[in-house]
Amino acid sequence: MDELLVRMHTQLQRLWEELRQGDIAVSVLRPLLAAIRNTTPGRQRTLRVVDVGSGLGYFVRWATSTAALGPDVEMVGYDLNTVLVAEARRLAVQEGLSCRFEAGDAFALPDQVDVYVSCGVLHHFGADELPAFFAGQQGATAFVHWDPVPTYLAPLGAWTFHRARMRDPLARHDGVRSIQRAHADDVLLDAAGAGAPRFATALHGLPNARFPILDVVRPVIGVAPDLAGPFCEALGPAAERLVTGRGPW
Amino acid sequence: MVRVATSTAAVATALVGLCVLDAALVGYRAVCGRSAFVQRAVLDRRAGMVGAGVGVAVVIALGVWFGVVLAAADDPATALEALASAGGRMLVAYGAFTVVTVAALGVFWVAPPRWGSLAMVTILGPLTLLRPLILLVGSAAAVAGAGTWWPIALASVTVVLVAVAIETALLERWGARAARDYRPPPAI
Repeated sequence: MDELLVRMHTQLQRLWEELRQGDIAVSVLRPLLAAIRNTTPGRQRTLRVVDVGSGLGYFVRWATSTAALGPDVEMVGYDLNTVLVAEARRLAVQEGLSCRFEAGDAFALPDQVDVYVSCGVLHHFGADELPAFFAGQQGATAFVHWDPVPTYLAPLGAWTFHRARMRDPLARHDGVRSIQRAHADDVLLDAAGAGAPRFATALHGLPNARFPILDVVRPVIGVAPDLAGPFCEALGPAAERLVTGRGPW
Repeated sequence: MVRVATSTAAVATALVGLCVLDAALVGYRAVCGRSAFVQRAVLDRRAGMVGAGVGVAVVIALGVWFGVVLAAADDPATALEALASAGGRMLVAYGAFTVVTVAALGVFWVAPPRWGSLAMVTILGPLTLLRPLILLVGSAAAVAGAGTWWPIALASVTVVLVAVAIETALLERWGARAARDYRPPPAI
């Protein structure tokens, strides 16, 4: 069973690699971290980015390996599944990466967390569970969670991609189920606003409604109110793709 | 001695090139999704090279087959012409498939992430699924236009398809083992 789980997650890692999710995530996180640096001059400590539900920790390991977010960023992956955490640690050690992986509740950390991130985690929660998920992150400076966009073309795209790229039936099934369970834009924005009311919340990069093929995932973003302006500034022209929810944008 | 026309040589060269390129991509695919390391460039390169090597072996095996076919023919020159004509029809299907694949790979590697992601979802993923169908379409086109040479054309495309199937199975087996044993180079 453990072997199947690791094998399936190894196959699902192709979503990150082939849909270039690392680059897409960095295009939002780099401006966000720049805004945090600019609003906290004299900061001595490293910035901590925690990946919630990190699985095999591809994003944590990739960002560490490429230093894509900067040398002053500590990447930590959290997952409730101890088998996946153990495998993520093994992979990181073998590649000589300095990132950490921990098993447990990412929202119960004693250390300061600057940014919580995740990719493909939100749809594992029901809509009624999402506010509690966001509420757990109120101690951080920001959160950015990517999840598939449930457009009318998404089921076909998900089926095709997973059929072509995954070997195990379970991994193929997972992709299609993920799209079926993905939350609508307003559900995510409402849940983020209700669960984390102190944050300015937004979605970023929604696909074109008529021909939604360019964007497969989009993030729901929450930032501390004083960070909203600097974050928009750091995003540059990409700030035009923000769909704002609650808070002073 | 059969004289080989320039067009025949061009068709044969193009098909050989496509066969080796396709095998290189089969080799690459054979390790994809089997190792979760981030630093996999060494494995991916090796997989492509092993695939290309197997592709060359397939080309040699097919060369032996066509050599036997020509040697056994009553009129080797006409047989060669018929085979080249069939190969030309194959080339139309496989060439179009290759041009689209290479263009999409170019977009994936060079374009901004969103466009690279688009190339993967709309072209490269579906084309992987369509590859067996494209192989059959090219083979059917080769046989359909072969006239009285159809039995030889049919036997030849069957040999080609079996060779490609064996090549794919061998590379998949190799890929599973290579990915399992792979260890990334130590970080500098």
